[in-house]
Amino acid sequence: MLISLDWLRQYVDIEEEPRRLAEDLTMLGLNVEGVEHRPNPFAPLRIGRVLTCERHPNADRLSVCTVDIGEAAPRDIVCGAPNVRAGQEVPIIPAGEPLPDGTVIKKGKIRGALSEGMICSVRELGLGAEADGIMVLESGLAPGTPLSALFGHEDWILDIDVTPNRPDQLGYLGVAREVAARYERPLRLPATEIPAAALAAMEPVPVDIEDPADCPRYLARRLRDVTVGPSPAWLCRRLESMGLRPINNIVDVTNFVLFETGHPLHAFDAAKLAGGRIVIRRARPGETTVTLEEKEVALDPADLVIADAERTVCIAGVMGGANSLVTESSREIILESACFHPGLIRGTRQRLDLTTDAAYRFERGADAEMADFASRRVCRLLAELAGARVAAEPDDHYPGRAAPRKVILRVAKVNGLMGTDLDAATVEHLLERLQLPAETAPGGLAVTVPSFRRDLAAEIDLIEEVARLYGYDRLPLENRVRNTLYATRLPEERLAARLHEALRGLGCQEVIASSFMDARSLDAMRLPGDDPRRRVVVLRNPLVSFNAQMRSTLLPGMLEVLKTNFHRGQEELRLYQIGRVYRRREGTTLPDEPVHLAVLLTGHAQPAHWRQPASALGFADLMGVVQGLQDLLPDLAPDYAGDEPCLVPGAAVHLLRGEAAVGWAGLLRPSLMHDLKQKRDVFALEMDLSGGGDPGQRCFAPLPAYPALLRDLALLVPDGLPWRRVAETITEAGGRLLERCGLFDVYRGEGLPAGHASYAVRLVFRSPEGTLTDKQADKQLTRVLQALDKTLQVRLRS
Amino acid sequence: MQPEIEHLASRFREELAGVADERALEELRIRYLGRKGALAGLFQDLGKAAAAERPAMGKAIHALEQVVAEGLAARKTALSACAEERLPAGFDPSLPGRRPWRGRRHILSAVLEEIIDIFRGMGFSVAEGPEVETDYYNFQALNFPANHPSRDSQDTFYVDDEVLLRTHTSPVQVRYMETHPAPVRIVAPGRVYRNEAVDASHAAEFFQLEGLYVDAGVTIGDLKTTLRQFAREFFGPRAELRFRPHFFPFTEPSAEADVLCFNCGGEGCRICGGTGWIELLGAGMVHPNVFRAVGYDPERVTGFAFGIGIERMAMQRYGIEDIRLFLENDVRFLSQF
Ligand SMILES: [Zn+2]
Repeated sequence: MLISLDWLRQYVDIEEEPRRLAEDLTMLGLNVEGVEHRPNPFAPLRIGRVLTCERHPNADRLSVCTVDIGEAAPRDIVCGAPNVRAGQEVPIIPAGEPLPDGTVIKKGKIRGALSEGMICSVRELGLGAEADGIMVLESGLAPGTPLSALFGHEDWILDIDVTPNRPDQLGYLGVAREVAARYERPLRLPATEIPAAALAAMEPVPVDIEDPADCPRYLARRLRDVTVGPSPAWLCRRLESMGLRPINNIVDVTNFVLFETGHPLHAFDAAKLAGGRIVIRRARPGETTVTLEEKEVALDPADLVIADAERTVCIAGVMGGANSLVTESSREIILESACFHPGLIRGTRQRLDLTTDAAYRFERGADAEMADFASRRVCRLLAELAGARVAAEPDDHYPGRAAPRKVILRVAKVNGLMGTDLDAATVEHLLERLQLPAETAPGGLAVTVPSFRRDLAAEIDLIEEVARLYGYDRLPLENRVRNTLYATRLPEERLAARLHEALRGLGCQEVIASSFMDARSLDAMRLPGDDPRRRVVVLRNPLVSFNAQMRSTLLPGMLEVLKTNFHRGQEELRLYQIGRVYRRREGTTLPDEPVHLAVLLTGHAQPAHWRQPASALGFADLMGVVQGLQDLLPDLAPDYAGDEPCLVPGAAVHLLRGEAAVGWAGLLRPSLMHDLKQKRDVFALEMDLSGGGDPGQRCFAPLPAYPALLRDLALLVPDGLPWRRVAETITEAGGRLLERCGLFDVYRGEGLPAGHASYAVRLVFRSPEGTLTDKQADKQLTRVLQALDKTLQVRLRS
Repeated sequence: MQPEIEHLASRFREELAGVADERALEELRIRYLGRKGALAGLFQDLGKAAAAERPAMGKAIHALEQVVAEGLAARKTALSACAEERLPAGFDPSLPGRRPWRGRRHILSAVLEEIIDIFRGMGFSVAEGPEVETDYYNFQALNFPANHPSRDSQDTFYVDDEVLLRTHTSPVQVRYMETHPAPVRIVAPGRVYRNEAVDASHAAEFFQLEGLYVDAGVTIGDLKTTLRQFAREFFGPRAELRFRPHFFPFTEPSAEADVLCFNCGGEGCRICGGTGWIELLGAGMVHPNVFRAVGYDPERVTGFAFGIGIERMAMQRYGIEDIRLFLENDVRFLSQF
């Protein structure tokens, strides 16, 4: 809501600086988002006295004048007007200053004579159209007085962000009421008495409200003999300060009163109403109407309309119709001042996407009592400005009339919430300033809520009124946040914290990608129709149509991040994300939202460094991450028989926790990155973390007391035999004396039979009971070699 | 005789200081302690000296012998240590260091964690709730009537008529109070959604942290104190807050809290839009209707609630001017924090 201070001062005295006022209103809950200064456009001009006026030596039609504009010496000004004379009082624009239209007059020589300004005509000042000479003033004010003393005005515009609970602040009177309350000054209501001479008996307007619930009040007034014409300057100025273009006196007055009172009004041309009647009803099925903006709209039976005997003439509370518009030729009008069901107006406004000043106010709730006040105010102004004769009796249909609301306010409750110790008289005085009369009643103060504060329905609403007028900043600081409540951590929090730490240790950068997902990404992942990731949550009104679904897997978002970085030249990426995915579940209203972890690796295992060349990233680096996760989730195990549609077959494992498959890890199919310029190996994993993470109570293992014996072997292993089978065989045959077996080199190439590799394996033997002898260790080693030979046909490299 | 001994001692010290390697040291040793060395010469002279002088002179020669031996030994230790610590040719300590890959938290995740920690220190525990919510929890139970302008500020993504993406973390308040008796003191972090066109200052998905404290006798003063404490821990010990009345359907009295502009200190500048204050968060006292919706008795308990925008906090603190950077995940951005 824009508020012109010049206008606001009509209703309440304001001595404060505009910025001070803005600050005070903000601290009262009227958030002033902007303060704009509109200086008087005539301020740069001066009243001047022509001292001498002589013919220009080089131009017959020009005069060279000396003009006193209150400075030490008179100014030389060349003037081309025929009517300039010595002794005249004239408006002067000094050189270098702007005229009201922004034009700046430069100091210079005109035909050789110096000119330090200009004597202005009515047209140059924007005060009229005629321009057959300079404007001659008769103010008697001293030369040098700013012309703003005679014309124009300065103004300040406050932009107030009105919250939806305060429709009363959508008019000047409401804002003035707050200012009056804040500074304890009287409020001046505008005059609404209609001059007796303008009143006349007229036949009533037939009004028919089909459903009183739709329209709690409809007040119609007939005005005759109106002369439609331009509005006077003061009215134009008011509307212009609100950014509105004046149209004619009828429309301008209804708009003016809308802003003044916050109550929307509408004027019909009575001659255009079929049957001369008003019907408030719902739109008929299939009905259409043309708005005053000449737009045809289809109406819905949920829309409330104002109709005459035949057709819709206005979309109630939203916008008037073209068929009943007041025009230059209108002589008789019917003035509507009504109150409609807010939800209906809101529904229609949304359905038709028509946001108007009227609808904005009606959907927040208009004040039914204000309907009469606003109607009388319009009639008074039209009697004055349009020569209207006004029906002595309004046709007031008020089915929603209700007694003023009374709310009990307990002072103890006020203090209990505010942390204060105010007495009843103080609270009563604060309420009184807000025009909320209170009287002592059993149980507390009985507060009568005026109709313009529909938002005040319960005790808590009154407490807020007291608190905000008292001042939030004056409420005492307290610290009663007691220590009887201890902060605890959820198991999920603990797991997440440990995972973040572990993944940072693994050198991964956390990313947070969008919760939305391109509908096509699941096809790119080649997921079958029955995959649980196909149970997506689809939005009815997405921001962009292809991102219409919630992610059911983290992978597509991770790939987006990867591509963003690739396109910008960052190719060494080790990324992870911990976040929710969303999956529909049959039989429940809300979807599942399990927390997932995804990791994505690409680039090098080690970048090139002067100490070592770059080493390529491989599957083992991904499995290293899996091992890192196993530290936290000891039940996590890879299943090598796994197969995942988005991974390269053979370079894929499922991740199991117990029997349950919770995710996958592997080399992504290149087709997922088909839009990248260069092909890259991208390793990824994704797993569900909802299994929790508490690793349980771990038992301390005593440190070994006796030394170990090491045996290194070079084994000839045929391609296709997985290492894990070799390791299993060694472990089993090594028995309890074999503490560990580790693979420390793999060699392929010269000196080996085709299709074989040489695995360098270190076995560590140790006994918990005593120092092992070479004999004992070699006995176990022989068993290991025999088992390898027998079960896997793996022998030592000769 | 004595001056001669003293002269020899000082010459030894000079020569010892000039020794650069073990060979020179050995030569020095031979010159002084060898069979034909300087000290041997002195001992010969001692034999020729007068009997009365001999005791004192002998003592002085022995003292010199000791000085020479100790000096040689110390020098030898120093020289051999130097040999052990010799660096390979071309050693250059200014060559770049080698470090393993470094992982980091996402800036939002880190800021959220920090804020949670601040509130945890004040006794707030974390609670969670679904992001895909029902209209009931997101609006109705929070005192947003159906078809009411108070919903206008919350442009909503819908799944169907009843199911939507939560527009704030406040539904967690309702869910938590439904299942826990008072007193409760929680923060609820998480993602929220608004159906808004995305630009430098608007995101369709962002993070919030909801706070809720309900107990007997909680006042606005408690709210002010808690939030001031938070601001001072997060922005620094001199952070100043102001509270101005505002409207939220689920709190009353409601407030918006502003922090004194860190850039101009309240004078007014471009960052604070000339007001001297920066809008920080929304807060208020829990509305009795919310208590009724969850089965709490508003006559017995009061409480405060607040909602903090995590992106806004991070942007304020680090001077980030475009909210889209957070979701873009450019590693050059992420690695700055
Ligand atoms: Zn500032």
